[in-house]
Amino acid sequence: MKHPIFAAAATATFVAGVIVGHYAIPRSVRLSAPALSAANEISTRSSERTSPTPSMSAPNQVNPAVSLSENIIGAIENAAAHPGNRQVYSEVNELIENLDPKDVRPVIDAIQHLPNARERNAFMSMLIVRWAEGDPRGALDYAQTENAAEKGWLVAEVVGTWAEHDSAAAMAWVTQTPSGQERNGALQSLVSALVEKDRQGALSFVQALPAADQTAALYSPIFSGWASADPVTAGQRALQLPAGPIRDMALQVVGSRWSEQNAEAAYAWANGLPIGQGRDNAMQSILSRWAGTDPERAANAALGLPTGSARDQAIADIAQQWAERDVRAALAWTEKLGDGGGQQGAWSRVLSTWAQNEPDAAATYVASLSPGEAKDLAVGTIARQLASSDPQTALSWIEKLPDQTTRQNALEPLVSQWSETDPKAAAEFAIDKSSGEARQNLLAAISHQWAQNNPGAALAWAQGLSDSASRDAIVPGVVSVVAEDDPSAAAEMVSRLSGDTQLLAAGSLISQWAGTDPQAASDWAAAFPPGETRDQLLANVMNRWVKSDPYAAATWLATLGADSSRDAAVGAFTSRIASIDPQTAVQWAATISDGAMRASETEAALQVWLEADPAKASAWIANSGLPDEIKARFLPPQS
Amino acid sequence: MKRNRWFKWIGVAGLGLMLSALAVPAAQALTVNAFVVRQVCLNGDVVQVTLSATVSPAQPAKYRWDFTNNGTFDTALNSNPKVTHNYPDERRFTARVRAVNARGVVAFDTVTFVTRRCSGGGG
Repeated sequence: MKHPIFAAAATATFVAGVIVGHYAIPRSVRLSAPALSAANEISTRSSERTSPTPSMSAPNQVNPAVSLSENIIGAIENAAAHPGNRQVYSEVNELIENLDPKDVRPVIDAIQHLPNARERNAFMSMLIVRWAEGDPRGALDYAQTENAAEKGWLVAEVVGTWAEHDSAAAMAWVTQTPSGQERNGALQSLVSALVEKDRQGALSFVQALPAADQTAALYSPIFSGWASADPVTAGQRALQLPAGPIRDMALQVVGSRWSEQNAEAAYAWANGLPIGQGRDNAMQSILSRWAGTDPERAANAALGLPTGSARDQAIADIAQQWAERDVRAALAWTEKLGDGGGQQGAWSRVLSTWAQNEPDAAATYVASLSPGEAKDLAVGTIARQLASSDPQTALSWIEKLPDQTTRQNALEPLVSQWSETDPKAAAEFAIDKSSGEARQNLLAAISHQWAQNNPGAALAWAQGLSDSASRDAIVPGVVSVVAEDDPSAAAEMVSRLSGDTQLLAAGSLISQWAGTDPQAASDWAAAFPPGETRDQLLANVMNRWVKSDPYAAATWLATLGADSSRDAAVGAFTSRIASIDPQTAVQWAATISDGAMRASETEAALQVWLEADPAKASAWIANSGLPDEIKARFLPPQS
Repeated sequence: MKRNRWFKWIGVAGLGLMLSALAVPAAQALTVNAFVVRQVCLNGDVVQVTLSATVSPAQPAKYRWDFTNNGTFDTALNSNPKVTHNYPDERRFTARVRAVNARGVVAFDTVTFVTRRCSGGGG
């Protein structure tokens, strides 16, 4: 849920920057005569100014009867009255370029009454830049008197301009600026200016900044500009950065820029990068761009990636882009992908795209597939797509499907979609129209969407159900969604449950919480009263924690007192680590208090150890304090 | 006046953010976590084990279980992750779950457990 919002915000920022920059950047475009006339009319109507009205009749003509400042104010007011008119903006920009920097301040003061802050800021930006060209310190002094909302970007504008004319002075000023938003903005602007003059110098400057200033956003303009001009060197420099998120971002930016020029060369470069997030990021950008121009080659290139989620993601992205251009070719390609080749993800994206563009053809194709998991998923994909535009059409299509299982599978996305607008009605439909496992599947499908919108209502409704199986189908999904953002709130929900439903919900919560904050999850589980529930929860915490940080998990285990819960947790711990560190697993298993469990866990870990390193394991067993019967079982008979 | 740097920077920074955002799906690939809900003795030596799973990020998914991790799935594809299976008591087992989300992204997990001792009755 968060990712699309973030992507949308980033895209909006980017687009806004491009659009506004587009208006602000042009220098050579001249304002048309009608636009200037409009400016004159506005100036004439202005009640605030009594000076003679400029009467320009041709582009760039300035009425000598009034000052340039007056002409600019009139042009700005005209432009503000015609938002989005690029020519008018360009003319204002042109006029401001001729303004003496020392005359900027009165113009700034005169436009403060403009009602639209976005428009006003666009002109403020042009004016402050002009001011900074002649008097950067004066412009800075002015910018710093503005309110907090304006100050940051005005200072950044001045710094960028200053850096263009005297980078050393601008760098000195920025580096002594205290930490905070103003410094961050100034640094961004400074680096953007530096990179145009000296890319290596900009990089060295950023690398010499304190660690707190080292952000991916600061490196982004450097590698973006560098890769556009010289992707080979940019790629080399990016690779020389210390491993981490900044390098990952830099590699991605280089890959993206490079692929704009030569996707094949960019792919070859990315293929040689060390395996890791940076390589995955770069590859994803390159293949995505390549797929836009030559999906078949991009698709075949993606097949050469190492097996894993990055490859699957790349293949799915390409398949979708390909389907937009030629769905049948994309479908044929995905059908040829074998299991483990990201086939399912790619196929699903192609079908979804197809259903969006040609719902009838896609639905007919899916209905003709042989029964099985692939068909179940495909039916779900089509039903989801149909339901998003017309639920009634989706229902009619579902009713025509030949077999009961397929119809049931198709209903899940439909009720899930329905639950976005009326989850209670969707849930009641599920209860009314289905039974047994099918009903539980429908309720599970509804639970996530309902919990996204109103988890309290979802939980209350589920708790009122007399059928425990239905209750158990919906509650874990609700808890799981709540736990994602607020595990403590989910824990509070679980505490209001009872019996098996509580056990199931607690298990869902723990397995999720232990992935993000295992310490808190462990403490919560350990607070349950001694007994089977506590034993099972601690085992589940350990099962999850060991996957992410076995050392921290072991440290926490060492704090537990001997009882059945500790035994359960140690058992889960040893089961998980036996394959990676069997010696440690054996040593931990030996601390289990229950005799039978200790023997079982120890023997299981010994078995793994003997398979992995027979000599070392045998030596350890021979010298251990293990019972003789266990030693005899694992060691070869002495001759 | 050469150009409006601030807006240009917004554009570049926006591109960086967008690229980072696009990288997120790979970094946040679907993960599934299998867990044991409870074990109940059915008679002298049979334990009914309830298993379940959660996916992260939380989203609707479908699950299949391989109760003994022998490579063959023992259940059909279900949206409800909760399953029960009967095992002999006092034995170690590994169950494997496969989850697939609406976009066809697949994830696996295993959970290893020792079935409880049932000698002497149910519970």
